[in-house]
Amino acid sequence: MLLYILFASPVVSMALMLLVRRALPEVKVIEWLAVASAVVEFVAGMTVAVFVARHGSYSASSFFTLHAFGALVLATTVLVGLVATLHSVGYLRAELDKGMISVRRLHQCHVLTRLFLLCMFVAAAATNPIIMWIAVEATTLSTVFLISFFTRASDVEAAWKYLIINSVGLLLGLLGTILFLAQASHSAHTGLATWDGVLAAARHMDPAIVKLAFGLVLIGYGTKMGLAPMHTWKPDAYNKAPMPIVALLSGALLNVAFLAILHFKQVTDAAVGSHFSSTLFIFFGLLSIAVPAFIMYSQGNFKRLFAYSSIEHAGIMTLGFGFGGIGVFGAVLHMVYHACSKSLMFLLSGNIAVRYSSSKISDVTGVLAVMPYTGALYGIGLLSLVGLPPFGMFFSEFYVALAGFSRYPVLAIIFIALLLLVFAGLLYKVAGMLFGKPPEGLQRKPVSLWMVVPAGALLAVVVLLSLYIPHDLATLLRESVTSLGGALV
Amino acid sequence: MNSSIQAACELTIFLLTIPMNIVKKNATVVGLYSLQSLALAILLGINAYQEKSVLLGILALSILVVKVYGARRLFLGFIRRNRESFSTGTYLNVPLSIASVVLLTIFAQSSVFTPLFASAGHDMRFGLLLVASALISLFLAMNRKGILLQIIGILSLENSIFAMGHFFDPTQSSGLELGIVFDVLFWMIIASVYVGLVYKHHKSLDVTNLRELNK
Repeated sequence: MLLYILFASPVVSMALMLLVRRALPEVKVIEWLAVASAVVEFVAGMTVAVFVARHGSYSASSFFTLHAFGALVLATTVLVGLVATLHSVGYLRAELDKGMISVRRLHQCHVLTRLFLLCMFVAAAATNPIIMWIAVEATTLSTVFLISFFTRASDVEAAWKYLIINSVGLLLGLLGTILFLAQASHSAHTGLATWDGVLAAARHMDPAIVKLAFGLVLIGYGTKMGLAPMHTWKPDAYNKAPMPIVALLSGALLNVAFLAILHFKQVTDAAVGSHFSSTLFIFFGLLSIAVPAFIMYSQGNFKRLFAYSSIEHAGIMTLGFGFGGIGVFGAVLHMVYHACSKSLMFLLSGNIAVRYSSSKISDVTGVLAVMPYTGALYGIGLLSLVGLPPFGMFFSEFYVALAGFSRYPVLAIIFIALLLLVFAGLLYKVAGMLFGKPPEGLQRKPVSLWMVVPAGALLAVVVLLSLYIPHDLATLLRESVTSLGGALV
Repeated sequence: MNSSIQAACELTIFLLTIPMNIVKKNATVVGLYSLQSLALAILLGINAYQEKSVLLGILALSILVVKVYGARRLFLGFIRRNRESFSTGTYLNVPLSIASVVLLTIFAQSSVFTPLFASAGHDMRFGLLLVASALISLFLAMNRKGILLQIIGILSLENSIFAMGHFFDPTQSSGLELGIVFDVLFWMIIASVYVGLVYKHHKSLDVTNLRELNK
């Protein structure tokens, strides 16, 4: 029932939003519909996650079941969904006031955001690989108009790039999925294929086909995740889309795509052993950390800078699973911290971009003086993102490195060197934005509470989770790590 | 009889991807894509008849409506409206494109792909041709400079993957495949909207002229 409430909430809110006329007085109605929907989704999603923590799984039907890791992905999705929705109220109003968008566009953004979230909920809970593929492909279709939201020539170009690269990637992912399903159906014909059914049939699969299929799936969903070298759409799309949507792309969609890859990794490991997938994960993981580590230094745009940071963190998660053992624990933990910290940074980047009317690093100075609350949150969020202790990312990266040292010491040293490079690059680029003299004519002006309070709350979550992990979350982490073949601390 | 028609459909799907890489007229490529989709619809129609599956029949009919009729009408409409702007250019010249198509076809017959069809019910050669068709379609999407032909490359890749899915397992859930077809329908509509948007902002439908992001 709870999952159906979760699915129904965005559908109902979309239907109601479409009924509301486009005239200005109704903007508030649309906003409240979006907020109400996000609150319902948050409550339903978190309740499902707690249920899974206490009972092992939650099944709504044979089509939708959640186990520990799926519940963790769902919980981060509804959390980022709620914060991004609340922030979008202020962000879109600010863009509306500046004349950047019309009421119609604002309306469209809220409707498409709900559709985007619905697709992610379905993907996270789907028991069938094809349903999951359809839902992930639908996330591309629901977000493409949001990437060209401001309808400038460069926005349209970024959206086109996003559409084409992700569509090709996901088609390869579909081919991989079909190969897995065909293998599973040869072993046991039990109607609708489920993840559990495919996993049970893994031992009878042809190793050569499984390897090819997993390679295709990794490329397919890896494109969606933004792993290098399939990441090229990401900096452009993140630079162009409204910031609440970017927060969702980075904090939620990345995890959903990773969930799909990990489902197939389980099957592959059962069929051909873990060495094959681990090797691929280490390759793509390290590459995804190395590429941004160097490119970051040449970035002059802070939205693109954080897009590269997102690629780097996708790489850390992938590397953690590649190293195995305690690295899996580090990677799962990292996924939770990254979802919160990166969403926070994108939302605050939105505040800065709106205030300064630019996303060029050279145009932005003295954020602490012009926007003290946003600046303070930005500074603390940055420290969390670069993995400074006592923030959680320090520990998650530490576990990944520890796993690396126990199995691949040279790679672990490279990993740490790259992290240091990213650390220095991010601090060097962003610190200059926070301090210094603000541009002439830019006065200190209050920022809408909608744009500050949700971000503050998200930072509070980051700090809280860095110092204390609630019992139910600890259970979900433990169960996820165990089911994904990792080791616990 | 049915299996020879199926084999003919699979062969047609492969053969039609070759001229898509060579011909210079956009309308001809659209026509080739429609024929390829028709071959896929016939393939699924035969499966529907063999399996006595109503859902599979609906799927074949959906493909006929969406891909054969809908896509053709949509794309030809675009070509009529933007005749001057649609590029037919390629990154590789014709001899190199042909050489690439030949190499991809040979690669598809290699030992990398043969295990895929070892346990499939039909003649392995036709399955390998579908792999070649998928690779050539991917090449089409990458080699063409025109936006419309990139779209057709992706849709042709999707046709090849769909046909391959049925080669492996003709009895797989038609309901889910229907979901994929509707996904493709929405994809086509959205891609078409972007053709218009790209032209509006860039006054060109050649991807090499999209340079705003570099500025």
